Amino acid sequence: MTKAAARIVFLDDSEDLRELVPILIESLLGEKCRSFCNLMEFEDHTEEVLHARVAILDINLGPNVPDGVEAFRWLMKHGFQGKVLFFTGHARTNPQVALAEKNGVAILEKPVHPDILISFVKRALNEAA
Amino acid sequence: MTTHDPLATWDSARRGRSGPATGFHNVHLSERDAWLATTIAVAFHALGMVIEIALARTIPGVSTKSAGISAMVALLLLVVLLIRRKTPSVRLASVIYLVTTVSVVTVLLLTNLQFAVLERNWQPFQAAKLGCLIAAMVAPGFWIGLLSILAYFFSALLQFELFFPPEIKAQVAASEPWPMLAFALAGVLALVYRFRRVQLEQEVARIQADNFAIRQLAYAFLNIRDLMNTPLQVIDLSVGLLRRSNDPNKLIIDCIDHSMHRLREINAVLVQHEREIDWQAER
Repeated sequence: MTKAAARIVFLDDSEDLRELVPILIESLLGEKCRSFCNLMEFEDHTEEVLHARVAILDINLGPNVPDGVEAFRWLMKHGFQGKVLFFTGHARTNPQVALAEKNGVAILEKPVHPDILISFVKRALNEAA
Repeated sequence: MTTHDPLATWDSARRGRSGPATGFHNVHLSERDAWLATTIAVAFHALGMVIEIALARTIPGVSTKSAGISAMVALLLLVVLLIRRKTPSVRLASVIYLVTTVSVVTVLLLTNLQFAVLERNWQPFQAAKLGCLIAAMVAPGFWIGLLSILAYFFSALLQFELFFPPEIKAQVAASEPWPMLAFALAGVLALVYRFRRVQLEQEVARIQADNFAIRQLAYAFLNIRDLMNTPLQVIDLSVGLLRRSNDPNKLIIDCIDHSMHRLREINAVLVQHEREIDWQAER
């Protein structure tokens, strides 16, 4: 069986969210979403990640590992053409995230209602199309 | 039911408890500062008495005995100050300062008239005037400084008015007591300025300490929020999925939703204070 490439990639250190977000997106948007737990996993699946249209990034990915801002830089460095959405606990207090927001990157602060998350992802998909 | 802001409540209680200082006259120097100021005053006392003895010895008829005793008192006080320097106390510093003031005033009361009569170019009450200014600069407390200035001023004034013969008054101190009053007022003003400045410094230090404490608290809240947000998001998404399932138990899901709403309110309070923190780039 050939698996269709995911148009949405999701980076978060929470195992529960890595399970739930793809289910939610697939059930409400009918889009495939692939979850990753850290930047190293991103790097291991470079081709798949760079072909996605939307990347949802958590900021704090745990101690002693590159954070979501590093993942954002990695995406930019490798010519990611899709839309990036930061999905994080305390987003705007991080100056680098605030800078990214000024450059058009959307930010969602957890906890957010599922409908809002879906509407952001939907809009990002439309903009990236 | 309203959501209380714990930081605002804490801040309000803190302001009510500590509040601004009541006035510069109630400002207390630190133990070390008071001790150092008194040590300088006593050292000046000792040096002044040595100069007094040297001057008196050049004028036949002026006694050096009182100045000698006062110099011995100053040396004794210096020894006490040096021995107790590791355990300074404002109270003991104030007592020592009072003793040194009484000692100097006594010597001046005993020798002023002798100098006025026997020294041809005697400048009236120079030592008392100097004492007013020194007290303003090194008194270990506001009230003790004021008392010292008043002691110098009134001892000289009373001596001048009550014990100086009219011909001496006219001969060597015709313009007194006005210059003496001017020095005393200058001393009081300098003393007020000094303690007002100490009050402001202490106020700034207090505000800095408060700011540090509130920032620590805000960082603690930030960490709590950071830890709390992902589990909240998991619950939120789970409820969203359950609501869309084939057999949703609406009552139970609504209960979870209400609790989520309350937790969001708490979260919003924490966000409000989080935005007041200056983030360090390395965080």
